[in-house]
Amino acid sequence: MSNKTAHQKLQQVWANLPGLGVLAAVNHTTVGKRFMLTGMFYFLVAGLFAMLIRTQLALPDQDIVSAEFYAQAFTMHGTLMMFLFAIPVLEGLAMYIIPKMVGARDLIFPRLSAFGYFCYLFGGLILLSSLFIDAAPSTGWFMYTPLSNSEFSPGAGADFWLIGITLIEVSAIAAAVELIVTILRGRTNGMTLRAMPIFCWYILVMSFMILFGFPPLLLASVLLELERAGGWVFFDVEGGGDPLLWQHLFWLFGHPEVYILFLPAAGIISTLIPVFSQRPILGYRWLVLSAILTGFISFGLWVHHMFTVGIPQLAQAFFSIASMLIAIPTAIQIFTWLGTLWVGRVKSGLPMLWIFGFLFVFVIGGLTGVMVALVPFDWQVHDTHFVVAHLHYVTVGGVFFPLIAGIYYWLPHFSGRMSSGRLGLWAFWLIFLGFNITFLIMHLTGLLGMPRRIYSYPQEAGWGVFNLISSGGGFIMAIGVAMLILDFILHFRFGRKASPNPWNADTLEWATQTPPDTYNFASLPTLKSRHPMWDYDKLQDRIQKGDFDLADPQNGLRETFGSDPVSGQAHQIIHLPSNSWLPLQSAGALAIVCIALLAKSYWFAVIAGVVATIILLRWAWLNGAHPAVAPLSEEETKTLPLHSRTADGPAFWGVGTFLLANGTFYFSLIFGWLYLWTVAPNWSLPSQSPISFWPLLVGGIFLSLAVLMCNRVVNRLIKGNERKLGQQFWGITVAGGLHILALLWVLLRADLGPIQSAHDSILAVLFLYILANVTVATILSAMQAVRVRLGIVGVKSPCEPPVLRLLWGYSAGVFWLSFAAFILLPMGWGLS
Amino acid sequence: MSIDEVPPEIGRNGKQDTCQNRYINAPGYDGASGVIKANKPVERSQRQKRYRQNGMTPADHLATNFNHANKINKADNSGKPPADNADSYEPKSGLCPKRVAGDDKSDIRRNQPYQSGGRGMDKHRVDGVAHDRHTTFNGFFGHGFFSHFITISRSLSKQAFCKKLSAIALFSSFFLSSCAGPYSILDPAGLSAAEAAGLWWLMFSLFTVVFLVVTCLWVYAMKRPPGKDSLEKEAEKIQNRWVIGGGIALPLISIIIILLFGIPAGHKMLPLPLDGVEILNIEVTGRQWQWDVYYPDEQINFTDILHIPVNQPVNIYLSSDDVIHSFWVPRLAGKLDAIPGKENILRIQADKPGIYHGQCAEYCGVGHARMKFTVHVHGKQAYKNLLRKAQHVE
Repeated sequence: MSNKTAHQKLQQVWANLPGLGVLAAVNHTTVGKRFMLTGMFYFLVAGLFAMLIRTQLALPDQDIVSAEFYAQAFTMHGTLMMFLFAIPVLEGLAMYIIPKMVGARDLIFPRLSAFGYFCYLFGGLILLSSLFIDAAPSTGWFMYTPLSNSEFSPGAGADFWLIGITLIEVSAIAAAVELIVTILRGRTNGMTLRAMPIFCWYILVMSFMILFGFPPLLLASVLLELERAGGWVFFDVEGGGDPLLWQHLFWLFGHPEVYILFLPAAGIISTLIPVFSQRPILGYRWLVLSAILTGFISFGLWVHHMFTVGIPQLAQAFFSIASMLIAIPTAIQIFTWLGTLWVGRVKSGLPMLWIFGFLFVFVIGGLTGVMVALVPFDWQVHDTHFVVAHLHYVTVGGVFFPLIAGIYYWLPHFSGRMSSGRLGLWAFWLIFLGFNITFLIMHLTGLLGMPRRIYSYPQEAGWGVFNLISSGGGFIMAIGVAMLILDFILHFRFGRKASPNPWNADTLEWATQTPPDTYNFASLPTLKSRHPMWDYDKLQDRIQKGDFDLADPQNGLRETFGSDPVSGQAHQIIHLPSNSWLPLQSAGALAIVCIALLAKSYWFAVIAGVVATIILLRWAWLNGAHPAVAPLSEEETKTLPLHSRTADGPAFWGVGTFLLANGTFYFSLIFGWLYLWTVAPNWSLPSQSPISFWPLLVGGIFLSLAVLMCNRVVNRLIKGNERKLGQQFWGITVAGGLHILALLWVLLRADLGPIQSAHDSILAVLFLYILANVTVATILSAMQAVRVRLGIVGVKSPCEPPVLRLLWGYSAGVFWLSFAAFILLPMGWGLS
Repeated sequence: MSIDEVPPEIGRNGKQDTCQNRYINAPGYDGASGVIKANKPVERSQRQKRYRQNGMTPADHLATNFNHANKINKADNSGKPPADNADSYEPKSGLCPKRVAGDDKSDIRRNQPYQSGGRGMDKHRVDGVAHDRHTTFNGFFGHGFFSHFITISRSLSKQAFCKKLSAIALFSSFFLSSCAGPYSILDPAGLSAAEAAGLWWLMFSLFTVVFLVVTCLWVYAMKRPPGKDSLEKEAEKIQNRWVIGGGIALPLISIIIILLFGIPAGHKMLPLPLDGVEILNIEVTGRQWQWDVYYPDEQINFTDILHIPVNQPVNIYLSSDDVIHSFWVPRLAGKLDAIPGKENILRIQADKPGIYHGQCAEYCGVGHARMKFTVHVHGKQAYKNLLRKAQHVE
């Protein structure tokens, strides 16, 4: 087979559909670029709001915009920048780069990434649409209650925020699952964890942080929406709630969020510095360690956003010191990079200039960060423009500058062309100077006592000059951003052609064509080195010639290696789904659910929700050894088995990773329960629990029965025994159904009053959560039974039942933990 | 400082004036001491119940705001402050701000005794600013943490040196003279604020050095030829040196230094009981968009104004009737949130009599920017007189 026909065959299998069919594209290169472009669009909108803010504040006593609109402007600016620009663009970049870096042909769950993109797009559009019906959220991107509850924010603004952001969080979690499984299971043959490019480590840690960081906010959003729309009680003092619970949940997300943004940026820097120093990075292990440490510490310092709410001194001291300690892993990274520059011969270039900008800006931001971590100083500057300056130094310095460095670096990869030198240089200096003019002086404005979020200030306050300087700087920066975008756009047309590996980089993504083919690599090499492009001769040519594995797409399947998470030894071939409309359909149905909720037509929301569930089940149906996907054939003669023929498919890993996020959501609920119990001033436990003890216990026994049966079935299946497989799945379904009936019976008899008391509200949410989990597991069990009957699942294709076992195990864990925390604990409390 | 120099209120200026006069005879208002008659005394224990019971209509709070504005206006219109307020502005030995960084800024400050923003074109102020420039210029050379500017400048050619120096001097005099202001953290007039300002100058000087060292090292590392350091063995050593020295030791030492100063400073700010010192208790309740002030011992209410005696620790019991607010008088102490269903205690103490400006620091709705208040600090006797008079009105 000639080289050309091989490429043609691959192209046939991997191409996106023509015309409108691109909407069904699931390819990671396409989806990653969509994320980045959409993010840039939201960035421009957010920047527009920033310009409005700076115009309004330029002079004292100005009345260009009303207080109401100003509030909408700073809310939208913060929300768009954090949720709709920074995270999605970084995730999009990671989605684009990661598979190419680890030598995979696509992300492991291509449909999931497309689904994530559409959720993000629709969530963002829902949020933006609020501007056009004059209902934009106006309570700040932090949405503190009680200001954001239905009494003080009666319009639909807060609902737009809560619902739009929830969709976007779903997207972020989907991307995180995707990236983790791709990094752990999708590496090319022989790439051990230690040979993995440093960028992958950073993205791995970031993705885990998203799994643990986003669910608290997801829960908080659900609770606040229930309080606003249904009148339930979680944050209202009168009914036994506490407004500080919102702050805890919000910052449990909000602080890790900052490092979720910083880590991929640090990954970009760690990738670029060795390339521009033309030597391997120093302290690879130090960097990995720092990234992991940062991930851990960042979950232990959310309270430093709450030093002024009046928390106990000991807690303040703890969180203060924890906040300062995060300076250590950050400093280790900065000095490791410094060491690499020290021993390397550094080439100059636009990306390096942006990295220098990063250092200058980020170090200032880091140092002021240590300042505000000191509680007695924070009491003064908290909620002043000093903090505004600090956070912009950290986020613009720690995210925007490295991101632009990365975009310039990978620009030849996106387009096959180099950017112009001159325009990019101008853009850098305008942005760098404009930024520092705006925000350096803003520290002083804050020290002179200017609080955040005031739409106007009197002449006598003495802040006029500094604000004028800041506004001037802001506009210089805006011009710089315009030039930057112009440079990006123009280079697609006028840039000179880039050579195959223009920076002489060491990582595998430069072994693809530029711009890349949809399948990335014509063949998948076996690699042992961390610097394949430096250590292997003519790697790119040999890959494209098809010298390595999987060069021939058999059966017309999209194939990539499925390898061991540690050794990188390929032990299966993962067949990936092709173009699919399911992601667009399901995300669209979910968006309709959200719009219906906003319009308060709840029956319509239920109908759309059912439609969304059906589409998602259809999605689950078209998997594994389904005839339309990868039908079982007589001769499965490949050296490596297809993943659907093993019990260790990627779905097991995907669902397992997702359950981490799900579990964090649940633990946030437990946190809320214990927090309100111990802290809320008007909390009261009823003397007699509304939950009937014995029926619930019996329901629990049905659940345990289902888990035990499922465990037995899976163990037998893995050993090759498929006798009465279908009946056993039906048995599991029946046990699950009985459990659901018991739960419903208990719930209906309990007669909870979530509108009166926080206690009943949390119990109701808990029951709905348990029911949702068990219902999914039960429906999927029934589906397995049918699939066994149709011959899709069996001893030859056992990849699905282990996933089901995971779900049942999780459901049972949640149930019994809840039984202990919500039933036994209050009983014990009553006895003592 | 004589009575004539008592700065007028900020509220005096601007558009508010026109509507203020309409309410000049608002009922229950005592022009002399700026007291609003309490409609009914509120016990602290009632606080929980009060929450949300003050169902307030927009008209309600508008009226109260106007009352407040009127009160300010009146005090100013009366030409001279009332006689019984006189000794509250007596010059005291502690008039000059405390020295915060152990450097020479106090002589700059001495020329800026404005407790409040006052009206911009006050003659005294104009003189004062001109004078400041001069003193600051002289003081500049003694400034430890500005000396790096000089070091850098010296490395330049001599001609350029003079130009640069004067530019820097101008800039820094501008910078230092602008440390004052009605809301300035850097112009403390109370114990807690002085501690915080001291911490600021400490951290600012320390971190400026850290920042310059790191940036210069980075630039040098990019420019220098690696020589034999690029060999694997040498590189390993260099890596360990930088990671241990710069990555671990540097932040640890910095953190320890600022904690050594920060922990005692923070301790002094806490509302702890003091031996032999009487502590004044005041209840302050925030609501959209005003501050209700209540003196539990005397059973007096004020709105948007606190009266406290000089040099006496005061505990402010903070709560909120609606959303979260934050009580902040930058020149006296840090801020603390007023949260519904919770009572927070903030300690403030003022060094010298005068009017100090405060504002809400937590976003609380469209009226947030206008949710301001003042703290009037009086001499001990004047304070007693004022309260007696207020009680009399009750």
